[in-house]
Amino acid sequence: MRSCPECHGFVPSAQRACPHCDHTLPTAPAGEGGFLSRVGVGLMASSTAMTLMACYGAPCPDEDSCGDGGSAGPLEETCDLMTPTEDLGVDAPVNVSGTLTTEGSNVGSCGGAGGEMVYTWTPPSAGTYTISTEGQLDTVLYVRDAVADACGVELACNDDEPGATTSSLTLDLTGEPIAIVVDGFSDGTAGDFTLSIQGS
Amino acid sequence: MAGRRLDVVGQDFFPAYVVWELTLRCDLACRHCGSRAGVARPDELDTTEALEVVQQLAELGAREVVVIGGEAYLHDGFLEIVAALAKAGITPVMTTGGRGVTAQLAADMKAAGLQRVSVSIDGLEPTHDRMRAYRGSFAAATAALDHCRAAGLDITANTNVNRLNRHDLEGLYEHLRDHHIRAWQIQLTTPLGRAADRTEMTVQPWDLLTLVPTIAALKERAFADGIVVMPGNNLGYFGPEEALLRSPSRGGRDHWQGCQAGRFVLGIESDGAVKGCPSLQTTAYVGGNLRSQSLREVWDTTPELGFTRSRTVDDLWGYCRECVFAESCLGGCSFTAHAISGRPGNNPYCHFRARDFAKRGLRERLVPREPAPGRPFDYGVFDIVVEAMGSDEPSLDDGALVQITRRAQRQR
Repeated sequence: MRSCPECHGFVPSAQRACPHCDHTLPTAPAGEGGFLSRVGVGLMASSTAMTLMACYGAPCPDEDSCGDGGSAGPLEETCDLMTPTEDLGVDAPVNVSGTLTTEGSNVGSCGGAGGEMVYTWTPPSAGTYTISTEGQLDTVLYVRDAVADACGVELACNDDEPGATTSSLTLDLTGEPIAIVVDGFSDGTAGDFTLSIQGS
Repeated sequence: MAGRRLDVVGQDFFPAYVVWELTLRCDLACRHCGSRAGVARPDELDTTEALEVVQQLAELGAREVVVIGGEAYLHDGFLEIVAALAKAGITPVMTTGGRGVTAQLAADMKAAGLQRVSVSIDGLEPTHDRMRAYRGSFAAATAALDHCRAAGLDITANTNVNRLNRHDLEGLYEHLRDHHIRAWQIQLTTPLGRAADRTEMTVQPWDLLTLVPTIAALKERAFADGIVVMPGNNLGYFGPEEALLRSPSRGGRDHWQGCQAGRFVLGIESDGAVKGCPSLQTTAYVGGNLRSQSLREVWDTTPELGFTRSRTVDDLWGYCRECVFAESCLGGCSFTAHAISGRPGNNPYCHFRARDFAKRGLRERLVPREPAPGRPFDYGVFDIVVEAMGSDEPSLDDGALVQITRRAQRQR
């Protein structure tokens, strides 16, 4: 491997022209130091060593030891694996009561700045299911894939069902586990709710 | 202790640099996580088994072991394992998201013999918290840097760069510099694991035309600040900035010399599965398991560990097969190429390649064809489409992180 004297990019030994800037390089005469000896120190490339790296890496601090426009857009979903989950099993229908407090760390794509309850549930079979909240609370309801854990890809999110501050989602599900998050609309939302799941 | 800089032209292969996933359990659920970390694997090595692995690593000459997760500190035997590595003469290092790194834990890690910590920080606060899917994770990661420095650990950082955070790099550098990091590793987010569910997030090959020079300029700036910026294995490849990018010191003439998985690099999954590199796809590259085989046996005899040792240009395909740098490069990073096409040997995430297409007014676009199935270190398949530079493409919008690609579940 050589270095191009024009752009200092690397040039494979067999190449006459620099692949970066098309500068023509001299051919090394057979049996001589050739290009290296003529262009001098500093232009020859290639040590035989490299610094081992890996993704998930911890870089060596020294050789010896080893959104567009700057905006990322609005903060969107968050998922906290440390949030306790309650398993609702594999049956339907489901009716369960819960209480939201003001402290929470999960947010759905359509909102949910308050505290939340996280449930896991496995549909008894593939089909269409309606998941909804009841009560006086202003809730946000979102559902995530829970094949691996309760922080999988969000499948759907609803803030308000028409004419109400409760939430409802109707989903076609395959029978694999999902996580259901009942969240408070704002950080002041607190109180009791009922979560129901109905097959159709 | 000996370092991580090695003559890689030699044929005396040994696992000099090891990345060891102690547990897949994690306190974050990062949107780009290749291992889909969160819940522990069903049958992870316990402390007693891990300590036996330490001895085997020492016998094979390992120089440095980076413990990762999940979060390595969530393994019950974390500190004991770190201490055993240090006692065995192996440099223990940790990569972490930092959420649980308190001042006390940092002090305990130092006392156990941990030498260096790399905190994963992927952008300024809004971007980082968005990628990590946890509000407060940026503050926690920054605090982790400070706690580790106060405890006397060497602190470094690493960043996955993608379309969400590429414009944060300069500001992030200044943030990291102000928190006294000594080195910074930047690697491309590859469509692996959860990132394969969110393909709008990952860069397209032509993005390298601006991204690589940006990182090279940051590296020049960092030298002046006494900070070493290094590319991960999947970033760069033979553009004009290659020597600057790949060399750990100013004026160096290092360049990429092929994937070192199974040559001088080793990856261990938390259930004892052994791969040539921690990021390699589990289904294709696990050579054996430490519960049933010795590390030496897996290292010496299995084709999954030895696939790069005999790699030649004849193993390459597509553009890489005909590239003028093929003999030195050998197709770039294996796991990255595999994450795109389902096999190594042709890697469109290449600066030289992007520049070569651009000279002809063309670019390559990665178009998802098959989704990832949803397991740790899994991958989808992409078509590589050649098109005119400047062609229209879907813009990255706020919905890009919430893609449903695995199953036909939908809201009615």
